[in-house]
Amino acid sequence: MKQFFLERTTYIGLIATLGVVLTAIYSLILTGGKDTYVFSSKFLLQFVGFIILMEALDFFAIEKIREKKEWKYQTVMVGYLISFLVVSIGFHWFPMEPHIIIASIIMFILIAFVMYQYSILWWKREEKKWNEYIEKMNQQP
Amino acid sequence: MELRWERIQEGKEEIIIRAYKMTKSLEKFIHDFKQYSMELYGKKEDCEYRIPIRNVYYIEVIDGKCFLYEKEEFYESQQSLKEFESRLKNFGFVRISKSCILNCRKLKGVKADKNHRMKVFLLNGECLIVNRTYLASVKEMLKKLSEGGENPL
Repeated sequence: MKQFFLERTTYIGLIATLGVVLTAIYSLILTGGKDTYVFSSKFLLQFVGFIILMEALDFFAIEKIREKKEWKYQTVMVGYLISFLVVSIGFHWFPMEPHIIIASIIMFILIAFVMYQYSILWWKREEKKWNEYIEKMNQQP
Repeated sequence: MELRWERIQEGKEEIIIRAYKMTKSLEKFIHDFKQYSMELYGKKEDCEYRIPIRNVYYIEVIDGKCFLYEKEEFYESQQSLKEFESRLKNFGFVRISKSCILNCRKLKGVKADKNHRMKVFLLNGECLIVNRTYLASVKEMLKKLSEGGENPL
């Protein structure tokens, strides 16, 4: 179970699902259910776009930076921000009202933040476990 | 158990263990001894050195060249990372990224890093990063080593 929550794919999936559900609820309140499908699918599209760009950046760029030992956390954050902006700007081509974009961005940030904190909690426990193994190992003759 | 050694004048040096059956502690002894005596070859400034694997902290590929890292020194090797990986997997070595194999016995501690990666601190003060893909295998190796139940050869 712990491993399940530590899996990156799990929390990406949870963010997406929660995002779609919350966007649907938001649109139900806003339009009385008229555009629920459009709202949710647009959120999902935006999220999927963001994840694909983020993963591509992670795979191609970050790995290279790390291999050369020039790793900087800021580099990644700037990369993430750029990819998020690219996806968001890309949505200007779709007929979407500004308040929906803002709402979905806020929702995305909130859910991502909560899930991120949650995963950190699990991750810290994993760190403790690893350190216990190392301590045990180093105690051996 | 009695221990004795004989001086020989010629022929191959060898160690013979005579026992009624192979026990876990005997397996561990043989394994530890093999680890103690196994050596790798590395080059530095045109000189070739024999490096006991117990002294190797990690093996890393940089710009297509493979390097063996000791506490303070490092040596270039002609072998590939894949070859090292299969050769050393029973000696506490495990892959932590596309370009690095770590000797888990040289670990001092770990720290959770961003993006589900793990920072590992070595006994010589260096710090490496375990990538997401290799987390499970590193954890498994640590668990095995902590239980003293590493794969016997």
